[in-house]
Amino acid sequence: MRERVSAIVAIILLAFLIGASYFYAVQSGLKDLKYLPSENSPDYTATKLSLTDFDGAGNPVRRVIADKVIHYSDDRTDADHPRYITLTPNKPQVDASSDRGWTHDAGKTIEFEGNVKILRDPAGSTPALSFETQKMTAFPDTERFTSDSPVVFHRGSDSTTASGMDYSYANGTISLTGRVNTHIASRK
Amino acid sequence: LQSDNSKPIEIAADHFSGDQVSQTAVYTGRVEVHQGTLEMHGDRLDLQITPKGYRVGVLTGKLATFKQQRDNPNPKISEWMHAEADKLIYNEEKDTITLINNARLTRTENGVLKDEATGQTIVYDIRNARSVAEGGTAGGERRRVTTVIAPRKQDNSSSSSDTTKLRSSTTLAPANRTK
Repeated sequence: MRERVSAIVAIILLAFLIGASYFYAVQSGLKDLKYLPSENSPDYTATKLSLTDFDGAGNPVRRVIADKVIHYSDDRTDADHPRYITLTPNKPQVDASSDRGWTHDAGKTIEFEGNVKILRDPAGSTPALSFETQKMTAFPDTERFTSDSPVVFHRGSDSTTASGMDYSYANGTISLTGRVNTHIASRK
Repeated sequence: LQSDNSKPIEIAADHFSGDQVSQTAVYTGRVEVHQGTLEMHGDRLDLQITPKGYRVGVLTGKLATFKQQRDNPNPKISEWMHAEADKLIYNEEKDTITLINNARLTRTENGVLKDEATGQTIVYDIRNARSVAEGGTAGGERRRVTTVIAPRKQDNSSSSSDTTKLRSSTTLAPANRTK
């Protein structure tokens, strides 16, 4: 009789244990589990990065290079020495670089900061172009660069200073604002 | 001055827009152009590069103005050309300025107006310091060319081109008068 009672008690205890485990399993549904890293701890990093973007027809259209990239859980990405190079065929290459860069919207806009340079190769009879500034925003989809910081624009041997710029390398138009001063070197 | 051509060109404005495809640059807002003594002011400057690589600048304004010092053999004379019109076209290859509509070209010496030409269109050849003025109609109104050239003889001492004064000769014998 004693063995029977102890067996029954053991079964009851085991059943209680199973029930409790099941109850807690249901309560803590996996979907609610959330890893909350601190805002500043990256979720991945990469060094010597080179990313190439392709258009719908499979042609490479741009390349982003960086010495180091740090990605965070809120989709913010920081980069050291980023370089943004256009690869559009039949168009002069445009090469933008700076000391630091970041994007908060998965590359829709890329911010460049510190010794920002944009170089556009010569094309046909038009000489090379270049811009120098300290801050610049790139809009890859619309193929534009804008800045509201002082900028120096070089076209061949001529140079222009301004306090802001909007350069569309898609259609080759440049807008400079603020008091603009152009220096055209003498031919003679 | 002839040496102006060897000086760099400085352009200042409130806004610049350039188009790489058409090779044009447009400056708007308080436009100033300086090259040595050459100075131009206007509201808008359209700068274009010709296939040969020369620049053509179209300056418009109410009124677009131009001034430049001219070489003068007499160092005491500061000679300037002044021009104004609704539109000034500077052609680097020909080194000319074409004044269109309400055109007025004047020459001053030490600030004193010497010559003046007005008309519908005036073409001023900077290199050779020559100008051609044309009449025409503008806004239904017939415009004739008027040119005013200051008399060479002037009372003030500033003028260098005083005529030589005649004096009686000390060497020739007086002519024999017939009785």
